Amino acid sequence: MRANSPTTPLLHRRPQLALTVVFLGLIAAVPVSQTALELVRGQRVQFTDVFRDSPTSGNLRRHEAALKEKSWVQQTFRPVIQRLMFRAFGDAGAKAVTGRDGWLFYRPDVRFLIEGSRPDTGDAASRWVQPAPPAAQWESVARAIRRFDEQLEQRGIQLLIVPVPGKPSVHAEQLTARAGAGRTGFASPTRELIAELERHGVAAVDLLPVFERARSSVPSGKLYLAHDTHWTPHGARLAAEAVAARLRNLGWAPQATTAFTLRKAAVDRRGDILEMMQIPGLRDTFAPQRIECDQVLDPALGPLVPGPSERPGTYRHPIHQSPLLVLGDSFSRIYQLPEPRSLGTAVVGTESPDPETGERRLSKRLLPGSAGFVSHLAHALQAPVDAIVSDGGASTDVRRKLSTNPEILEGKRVVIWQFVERDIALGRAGWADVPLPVELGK
Amino acid sequence: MVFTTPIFLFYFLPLFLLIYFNLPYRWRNCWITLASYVFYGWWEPWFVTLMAFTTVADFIWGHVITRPGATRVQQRAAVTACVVTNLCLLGFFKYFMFAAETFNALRETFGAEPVRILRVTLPIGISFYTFHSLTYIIDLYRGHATPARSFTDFSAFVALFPDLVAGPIIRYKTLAAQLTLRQHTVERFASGIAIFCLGFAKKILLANPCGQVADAVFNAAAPPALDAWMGVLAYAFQIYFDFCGYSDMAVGLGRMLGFDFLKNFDAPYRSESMTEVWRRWHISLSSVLRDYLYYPLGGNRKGPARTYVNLAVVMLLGGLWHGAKWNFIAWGAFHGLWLAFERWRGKRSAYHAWPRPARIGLTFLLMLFSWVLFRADNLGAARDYFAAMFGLGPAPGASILLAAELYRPFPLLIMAICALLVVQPVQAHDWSLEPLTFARASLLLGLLALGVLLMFSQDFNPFLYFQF
Repeated sequence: MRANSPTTPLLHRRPQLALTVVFLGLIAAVPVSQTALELVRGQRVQFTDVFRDSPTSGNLRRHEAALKEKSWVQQTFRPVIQRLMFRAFGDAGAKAVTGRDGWLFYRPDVRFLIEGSRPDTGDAASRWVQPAPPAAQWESVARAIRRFDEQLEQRGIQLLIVPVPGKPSVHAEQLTARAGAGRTGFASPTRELIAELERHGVAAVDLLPVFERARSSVPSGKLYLAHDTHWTPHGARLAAEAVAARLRNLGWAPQATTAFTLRKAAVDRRGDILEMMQIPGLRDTFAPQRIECDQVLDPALGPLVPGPSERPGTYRHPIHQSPLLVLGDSFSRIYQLPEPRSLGTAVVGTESPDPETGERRLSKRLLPGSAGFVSHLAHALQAPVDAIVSDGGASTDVRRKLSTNPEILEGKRVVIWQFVERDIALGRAGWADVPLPVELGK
Repeated sequence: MVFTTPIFLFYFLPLFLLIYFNLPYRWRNCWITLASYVFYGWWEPWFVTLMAFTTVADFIWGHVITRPGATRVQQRAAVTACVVTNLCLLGFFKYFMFAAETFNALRETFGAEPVRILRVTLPIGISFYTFHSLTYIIDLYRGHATPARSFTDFSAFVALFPDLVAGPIIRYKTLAAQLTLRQHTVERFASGIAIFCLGFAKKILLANPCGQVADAVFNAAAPPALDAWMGVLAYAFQIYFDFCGYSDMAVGLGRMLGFDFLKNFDAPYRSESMTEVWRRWHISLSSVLRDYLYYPLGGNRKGPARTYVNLAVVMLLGGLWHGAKWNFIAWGAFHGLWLAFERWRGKRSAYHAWPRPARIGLTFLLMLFSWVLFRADNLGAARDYFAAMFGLGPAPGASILLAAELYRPFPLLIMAICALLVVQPVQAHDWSLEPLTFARASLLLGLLALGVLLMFSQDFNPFLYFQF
């Protein structure tokens, strides 16, 4: 070793001593300060959790993740670093990709398109590897859909599949200039899934051509929100009208029974991608996007919103029994049902003084309701539509909800299953078999 | 446990050092063993039993080989039994699924039904500690080492956490004296901190961002040609800074404990031939392969033809050591053939007459080709990737959207820094041994602080060599 020998005078060893002291101080200071902080706050000392549970691989991973997540260093500096990375480099973090003109994209949406059709590796936790060659993810999804279709068919119910294109499928030009203006319609697993389902007699609606045609006629040309993963109200309405048209073509559309009307409403919405980036204060630096909606009104009930006794995520028309049921995700929920988290709170209207205190404050309420895909489908058909929606849960969770609430299928003739296309990448593991309960009396 | 995680850096390491330096000297190897088992078992606790079994068995074999009065035949039988036991364990955990899948493919070829395969989990680092242990036994047999003074010394050698899961591969004879007596000084400790900080920064600040670019491209269905080149370049930087960074951290931790590990990387991307690459890349592996495989096969003593075959065989097995996949075997074959070719030309590359920058550039280009084989999921994917690099793949389709992930200021800046660092000659291993100044100490602490801050904000933090 060419470094100074042990006999080097202390004066010449100062840098070594300084480096050693600061390094040891740093690595000791973090756990000591964390422990002190937890004791001062009266909380359980986090690192002792590792001794409370049996030392399995899963428990150890969980403790390690919790230790990082709850560390004051992480909580203090991660937002600072992320904000700095976003400001300096436009780096939007693990969940998002920055596009052009300030647009933001959800990274799994982008990756789904880029990665295309991938083999389904199945359940990595299984003890045995089955010899069958791994199918593509979309083939596993097609199998799951066909099994559900068979279950519904036994009850005399038709199934219509509605894969919703992700934002990059429709607005690729907002992601990168390389995509060129208006370039969409990439070959993707969604096209293969739809073709496969049609081959096996399962009806499906391909929304991408609908959106492509509509883009030229929309004033802004935008069918998706700039900072959000979801479509605009206009996009939702276009999708609903396309689904209604397909139902009519198939002869599955119900008789018009209700004279639904439309009412203009406006909401200010901050995108969910800003929320997912988890950069405190970032939301406030982006002005909310003013969104014009068409609210669908029932002549007797007003907006089609669930009553207080309804289960979360479920809507049933309180008067008429609907022959249609929508199973969907947040694309069915947006503008339609209250959002599960606070990010859905939108500011509506103008500042008005509080009648009691006189303070001026913005009136707040949840998104207008009854202005989303489900209501516009009801409007397009002039017939009520029931719905079960679960954010991010269209692949399996909605069917679980249906399975535990099977009475909702009573009187149904058609189930419309909407899911966002990136869910195809979940493959076999994300599209579990959920048997419907046996019908009573059969 | 991974070095670049809060659990290691802020809990395991300070606690380990606190106890280590407060224990009487004779207990320190025992503490190293115990702590290393915790470090190793953190990933999957039952893996520890496997390592403990290997350790006990090889310690006993070592005594059988060196017991007074043992004949050469008995020694040979003992070393054979030990090598076979170790390789069987390694073979089962690392190659069983590969063999079973190949068997299934053959059955299908001949029209038979494939069978289901037991899923075997690969214990991390098994390739490394098996090699550690084998070097002990073989060196004892060859008379190049003396038996471990105690079981504690030997178990500390096998389990030594700094180099346990991803090397460098340390031979027993290198550490034997240090296991018995090692010096702990502020200078040595500080130089350990210095190289640890550099390795930490390489991993967090350089390898991880490059890895995100590489993953995006290698996972793309049909990357455009430019993106494919960008992807393999990013992977070349990722694997170098990831593995070299890990080795630096291992060397640094070793120095903190008073051990001297050898340099594992020496500016490999400045090599002027593939022969030179293997003198600069993963030096500990290439020297182990040379001493324990190439030489026993006859090395260059049995004529030129046999030398070329030996080189190819060694690299083929080196490829297989990296992973149980056909593309690793192809990677090994690629290197083996190049080494044999350069040996045929008198250890000179085909372009040795060209100017030095061109020699370095062409060698780097060959490295890039080999990294495609190394990184691709399988041979078919490697073939498609090569096609994409030369514009012979299918139309990119949605893969054109890769531009949104790749051509951004941060990845471009990081890759530019990587490019500058790989061409400059100063290596962390040597730099950390030079006299420390306040300016250097400040730089190191700045890099550590930046690395720590980014560590807490990164969601992408894999270690590539864990899977080997």
